[in-house]
Amino acid sequence: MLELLPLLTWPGENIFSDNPTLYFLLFYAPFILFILYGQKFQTWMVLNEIGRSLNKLKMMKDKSRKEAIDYFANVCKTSSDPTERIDQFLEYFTILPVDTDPSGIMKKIEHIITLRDDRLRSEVRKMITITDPVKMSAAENILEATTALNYIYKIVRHYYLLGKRTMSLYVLIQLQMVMPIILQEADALMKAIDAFKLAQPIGDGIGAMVAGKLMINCEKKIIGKDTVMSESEFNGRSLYLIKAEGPAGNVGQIGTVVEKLIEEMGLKPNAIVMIDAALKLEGEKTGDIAEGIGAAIGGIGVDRFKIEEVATKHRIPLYAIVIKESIIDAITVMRREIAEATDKVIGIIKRILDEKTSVGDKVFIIGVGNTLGIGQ
Amino acid sequence: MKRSYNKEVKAPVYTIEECTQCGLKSKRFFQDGDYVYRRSGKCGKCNGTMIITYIYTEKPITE
Ligand SMILES: [Zn+2]
Repeated sequence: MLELLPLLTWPGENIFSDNPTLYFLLFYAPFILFILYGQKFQTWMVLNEIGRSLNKLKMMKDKSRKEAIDYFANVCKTSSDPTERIDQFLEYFTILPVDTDPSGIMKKIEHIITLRDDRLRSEVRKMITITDPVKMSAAENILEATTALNYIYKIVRHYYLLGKRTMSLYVLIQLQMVMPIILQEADALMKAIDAFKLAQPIGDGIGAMVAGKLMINCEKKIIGKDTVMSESEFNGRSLYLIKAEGPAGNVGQIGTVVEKLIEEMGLKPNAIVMIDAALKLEGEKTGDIAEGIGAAIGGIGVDRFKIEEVATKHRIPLYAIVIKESIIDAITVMRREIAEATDKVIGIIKRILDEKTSVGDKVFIIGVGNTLGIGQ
Repeated sequence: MKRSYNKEVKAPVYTIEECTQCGLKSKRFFQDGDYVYRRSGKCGKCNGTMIITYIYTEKPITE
């Protein structure tokens, strides 16, 4: 080793032999630069990448806002230019109740959420001149998707600017990590707006579609806000079929209706079967069906709470059937795999009725989900 | 990530109708006003009622 040293430091015919400054610059300066400024460099790279994604989000946000304004002005025929009112709506917020003292919180959440929905609906109705319920609910849904896109953009911009101002690599890296998922969700919201505009069924509606199929030739009655019920019969069992009222984009008030039927109308079922779309894990197939126990209903939890309460009080078994789909499938036009699960699910419902109930029993069959584009 | 959202081709949406009597099925492009379980006219074969049973898209929108 020692014998080699003179060769390296004094290589004779080497171009560096009489220019030690060049030697230093080429071999050592990059190391020093990277040690001192490596993180800065990486920060710039990350900032740049997030900046591009943020731009994309901004484009989506602006496009969705424009589409909402167009839909209100052209399809819903607003009495005046809706731009200002829609811009105000994009900033609309909801404050959920304090949860540090959780006793009785469900009533408060329900109150706030109902208030929010009613406010949205009444504001939309005030703006537009048409009375078609499908178009009105589509307008509400479009406004909600636009608000969500606006919110996503603002949050991402907040962290981007925070990271840029503080040049904090760690803030930026966290944002960079979740960025692909955020972009995917924003993309799904954009596609959801397309489905809403044309009132096409979305993946989330599969539960309602199953209940709707069972209701086809039955008499329907409105049983609660945006909720319909039909009575039917299968192998000696009385079926009470419940879903949100379509083809407008409603989710109904399933929890309230079940509570009302059991507590106020004294209709005590021997079983409740619920059908809903459920989030699949990566790797699971879209449209796969799974059976289980419990109240299959999403949302903020008010409906599930009510159904669980009343089912527990009267010891009613809850059977759940879910159809697997991704969050993107759930808010975009229904895929064939999901739609074609309908008949298989009906087969499962019949099997549950045969196996778990007996002749003369009363059974609630509840199809959960947004009924946009799905009648009954 | 590389694909821009507005460059993608929109997958077509189909409406499937089925006759309630003879089970004849027909598939066409979605039209404005279609919704699932709408009675959509008479069957060409047996004059029974046609009903829309599915509205779906076939190409996976997301991978
Ligand atoms: Zn026919």
